[in-house]
Amino acid sequence: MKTVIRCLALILISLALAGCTTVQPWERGTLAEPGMDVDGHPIDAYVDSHVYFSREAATGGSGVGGGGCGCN
Amino acid sequence: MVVAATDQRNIRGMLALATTGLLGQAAAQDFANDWTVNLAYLNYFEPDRVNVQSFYGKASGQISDDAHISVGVVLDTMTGATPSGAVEGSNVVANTGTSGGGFEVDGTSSSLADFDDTRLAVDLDWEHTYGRFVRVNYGAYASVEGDFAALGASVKGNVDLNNRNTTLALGLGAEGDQSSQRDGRTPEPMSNVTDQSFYGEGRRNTYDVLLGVTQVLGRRTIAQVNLTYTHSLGYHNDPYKVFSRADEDDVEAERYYENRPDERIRGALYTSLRHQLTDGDIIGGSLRYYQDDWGVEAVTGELSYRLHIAGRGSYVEPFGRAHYQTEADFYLRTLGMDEELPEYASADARLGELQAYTGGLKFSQPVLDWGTLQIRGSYYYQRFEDANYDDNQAFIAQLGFEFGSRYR
Repeated sequence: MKTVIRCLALILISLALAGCTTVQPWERGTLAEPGMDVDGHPIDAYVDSHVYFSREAATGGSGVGGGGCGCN
Repeated sequence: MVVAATDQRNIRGMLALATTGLLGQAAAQDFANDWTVNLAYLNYFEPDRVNVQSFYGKASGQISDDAHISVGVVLDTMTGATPSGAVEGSNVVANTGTSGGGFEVDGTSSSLADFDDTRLAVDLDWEHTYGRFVRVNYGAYASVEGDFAALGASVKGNVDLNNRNTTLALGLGAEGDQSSQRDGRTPEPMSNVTDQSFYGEGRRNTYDVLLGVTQVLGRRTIAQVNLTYTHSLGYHNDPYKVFSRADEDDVEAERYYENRPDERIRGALYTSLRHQLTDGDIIGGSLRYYQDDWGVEAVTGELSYRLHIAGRGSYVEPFGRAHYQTEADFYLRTLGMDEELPEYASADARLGELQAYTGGLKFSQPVLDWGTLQIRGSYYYQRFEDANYDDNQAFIAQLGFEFGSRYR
């Protein structure tokens, strides 16, 4: 758990420093493209999480809830 | 609309009504044009083992100025054989008909067990915008197959801060599910398969919490950090899984149904980043650290590179993934001849120490004005440190079409 807290602290500090940079609304054309969606393509993300959930012990991190299956 | 030309007093009112109607139609037209429909077919194939065919349908769009909905349907058909947990080639104990359905541990090829099932899942998401900076996503889903059913709901709120360069997210989820063998029964945990009792369906409740930050790091870079906590209570066993008591040569003496703890707490720290290069190509990556109170720790990394061929939506994207996990505290491959039965035990290799690697390629091409054709293929390889099978491999092929205007 200590590892998690340290990692989280490091990441949050990095993001806070990065947060000093402000991108204005009219500079967001690139960020608005579908390919820049941090959640990925909806079908691909669903397929991947379903495959890995059914074949590995670890899950979580990218959302809440699932589409539960009896495969694990 | 019919207007009586002689009724002068009504003309003003009728014009106002017509104008409103036209504006309403224009607005409805705008919303109708904003819909995206995804249809996809997937084949997941493990040679000599599992074959899953899936059909996906998803429609999403804006239904008013402040509401966006998404509806999804998935149909899976699953056939094949999966490791039962017993030692490979063991045939000492004959155990027929325990499942009463599509799954049989028949004593002749008992390290693999056949299955045949169909799964239907539906999900509905409603995202509502409150004011300029707050969005709340309400979700619900249901999933049913022959030996498993789940019903879940989630709420996720997003708040934009810092001139919309920072988004904070808080998500809550709850799921109730029930599992059993196909005849609706669950075997008594840790019972000998030749002398077992059966109970009714096993039930489990799962609760999720997500805390997330999405941060714009520049005109071409965006990052996300999520922390998720999941607490599940109830029946966690796989009602088909067994483990063997065997000697040093893996000759099986007895076979037992597995038993897992009735509670599990999981935590995951997930970070992802996307960066667009000046030529338009996009690099994506993510890293996840996972830990649970069953003793499993895992690290998972993903990378992708979107190489644009001709304009938006026309690209090839190679991607890769690597995963490593430690084994659960109660995982065992076999139980020794002189060992006492522990409180918890499972020989399910997915709870053992393993490495997994994925390599794949996605191709996307807009077609006329209709939408985008998407083809995706990948190879998945698992290597187990100490399991009844050394490895497992799967080929995954996906063909999809996205109707809509995302890439126009």
